[in-house]
Amino acid sequence: MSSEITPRANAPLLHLFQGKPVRLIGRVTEIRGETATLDAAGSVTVYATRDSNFKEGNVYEVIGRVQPDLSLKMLDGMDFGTNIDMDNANALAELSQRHHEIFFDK
Amino acid sequence: MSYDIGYNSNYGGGFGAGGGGFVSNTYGSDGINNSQSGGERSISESKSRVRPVTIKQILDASQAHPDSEYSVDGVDVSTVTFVGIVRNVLNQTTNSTYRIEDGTGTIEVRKFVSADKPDSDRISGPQMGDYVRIIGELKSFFNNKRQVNGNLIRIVTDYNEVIYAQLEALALHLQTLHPERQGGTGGTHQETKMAGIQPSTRSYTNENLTSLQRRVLDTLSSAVEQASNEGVNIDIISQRVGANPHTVQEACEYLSELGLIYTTIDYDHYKLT
Repeated sequence: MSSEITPRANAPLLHLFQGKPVRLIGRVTEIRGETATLDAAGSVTVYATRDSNFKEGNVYEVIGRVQPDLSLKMLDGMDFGTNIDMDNANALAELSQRHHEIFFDK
Repeated sequence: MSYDIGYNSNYGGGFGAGGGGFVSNTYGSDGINNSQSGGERSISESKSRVRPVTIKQILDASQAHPDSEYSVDGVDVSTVTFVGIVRNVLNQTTNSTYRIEDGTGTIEVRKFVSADKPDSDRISGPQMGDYVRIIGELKSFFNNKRQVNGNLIRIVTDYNEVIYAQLEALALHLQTLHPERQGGTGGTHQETKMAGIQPSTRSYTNENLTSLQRRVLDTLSSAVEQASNEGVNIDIISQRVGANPHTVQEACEYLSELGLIYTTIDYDHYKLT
C-alpha cells in the first residue's frame, strides 16, 4: 500500500524535508521547458512530470520530493485553479509544522 | 514569520455554499437511509457531532476496548469529516470502497450504493485523483483495521476547501486540548494565542450565520425544552422563529454541521451543544 506521508511545506520550510516527499501549494510564476517556478511564500523550482501541463498564474498542489538544492522533483500534482487564498495555504504549511501531531510524525 | 489567518470568515461561507447540497445530502432522509447497510441503525449513533479530522487523527484514535467509541483528543468521536484524494476505487456489488489519502495518512471509505440506482451512483461518483469531502462513521474490524462508512462523499470543486478542511481539523484539535484559551464572550477577535486560529464555533457564531440561523440559535438557547433530553422539535422551532419548516430544517442542518447544535432522538429534534 502506497501510504507515504507528505507533510505540507512552502518555500521557507523545504530545508526541513531534504530527500523527502512533501505537498506544496504554490502559484506558477514562470515555465521553462519542463521546469516551473512556483511562488509559495518564496520561490520554488519544480521539475515537472511530462503530463503536468502547468499554466502560468494558476495555483497547483504539487507532491514532490525535495532535492538537495531545495528544488522539487514532482511526483504528482493538481491544478487548484486561480482562486486560491495563498495566505491560508501558507498558514496551513506553517501551522502543520508547529502542530505536526495531527499531520505527521517527526 | 506569523500568519494571521481569518480562514473562518473567508471560508465559512464557502464551506456551506459548496455544501448547500452537502448539508442537505448529509441529513436528508434519502441520504441516510440509502447509505446505511440495512437502514436499521440505532439513533444513538447519529446523535453525535461531526468532527473535522485529519486521516492521521483517525489512525491515531484510541479505543478503550474493541467495542467502544473511538476517542480523538480524549473526546468520543463516531462521525468524522475530512477531505482527501481518491487513490483507488473498488466497486463491489453492494458498495464501493475508496482509498483516500490526505497527506497525513490513508484510509478506506466504504459507501453503500443505492439499491435502486447503483449504476448512476458510480458513473457520477468520485474517480481516482479526485479530491473529495467525506462525512462518515468510524468503524473498526476484527483485525483492528480502521475504516469509515461514508454517509456522504462529495467531489471537491473549490480547492480552498482542501486547505480549509485541515485548518478546521487543527482548530478543533487545539480548541479541544486548550479549552481555556477560547475567547471569553467571543464578541471580538481578541484571542489570538492559538497561532491566530479562532475557535471555530465562536467565529461561526459571530460572523457567518444568516439571520435565520441566528434566530434558530437564539430560539434554542431560550427554549425551556433545552433542558430536556429530546431538545426542541423542528416544528416548534419553526413556529417560534416564524419561518417555514423547510428553511428552518436547512438552517438546523447547517448549524449542526458546524457543531453548534445537534440532533437528539431523531432528525426533527435539536439541542444546543
